[in-house]
Amino acid sequence: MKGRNRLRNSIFLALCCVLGLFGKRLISPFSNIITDSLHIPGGIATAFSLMFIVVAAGITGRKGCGTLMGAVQSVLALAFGMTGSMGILAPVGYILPGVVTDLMLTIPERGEKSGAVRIFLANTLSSVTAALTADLIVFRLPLPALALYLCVAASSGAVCGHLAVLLCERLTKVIGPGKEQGYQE
Amino acid sequence: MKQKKIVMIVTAVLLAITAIAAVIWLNIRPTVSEGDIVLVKNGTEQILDLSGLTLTDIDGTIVNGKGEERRINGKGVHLSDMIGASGFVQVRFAADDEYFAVVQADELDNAWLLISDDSARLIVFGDSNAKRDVKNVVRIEVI
Repeated sequence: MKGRNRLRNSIFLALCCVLGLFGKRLISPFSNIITDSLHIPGGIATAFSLMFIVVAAGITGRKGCGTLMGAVQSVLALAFGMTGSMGILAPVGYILPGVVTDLMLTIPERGEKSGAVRIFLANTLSSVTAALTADLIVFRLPLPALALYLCVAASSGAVCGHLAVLLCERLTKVIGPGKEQGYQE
Repeated sequence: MKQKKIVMIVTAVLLAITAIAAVIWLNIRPTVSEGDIVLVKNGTEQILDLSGLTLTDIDGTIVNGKGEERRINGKGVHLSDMIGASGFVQVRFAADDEYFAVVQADELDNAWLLISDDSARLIVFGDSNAKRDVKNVVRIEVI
């Protein structure tokens, strides 16, 4: 039974990795409409992409899951040439948000219903981390533009964090590892 | 239920802050009329009308991030015709969304501005990826 759970979790993690990577491409044309009108170079699609990492890490409840998934995504991105403007430094942009996701999910629980805020914070702060990393490596925006860019990243991270909470609630019932390990309603 | 309320409130606050930041940025950002480019050289700003530039044919191949080759064919301006061939170290090209790329003086031979639909796009032939493929260039700073 334990082996079957592990296999199920691994398949779920792999699926979330791929969904995160390619979901970003799918949503980019729509998010670009908003970011183009704000005259900033992005910040929305990444939050959507990170949602899958947060959901996977939240449901499986495994330590280091976010970092591992970020690392796998960065290898896939390098292999498929999906590194964008970051080039060879793209792994930094994938792994750091994963690390932040893991850190947020290790926040000690307070009370029975503690999962939602941790999931929400993980998505919001990992999105901000991804935006900051992209700015440091590529964009180096002037301060007012950077402030808006980070706000957009935080807002979209928050909206996707809300979605992640809803997804965790529903998926935990189907594929969750049990209340002792992962997301708790 | 209480947690979801917190999540909703924080999301609403973040959206409100973003709206304020957007209004501020859209009011203070440097704007350039469509079809114009700001050229900053020797500390002085000059507005260039793209329709007033003398265009020549551009034909070549660039490589994108996936290693795929893409043919570039159109009308544009060679950078040395626009800013001169010497007397600077590098040129910074900024797009409308603040994305920018830098071309060093010794790379000038390969650098072009492709002009189409009142919009300028930086093309640097010979690059191994499309990092310097800056679309909708609105500002050129000669440093």
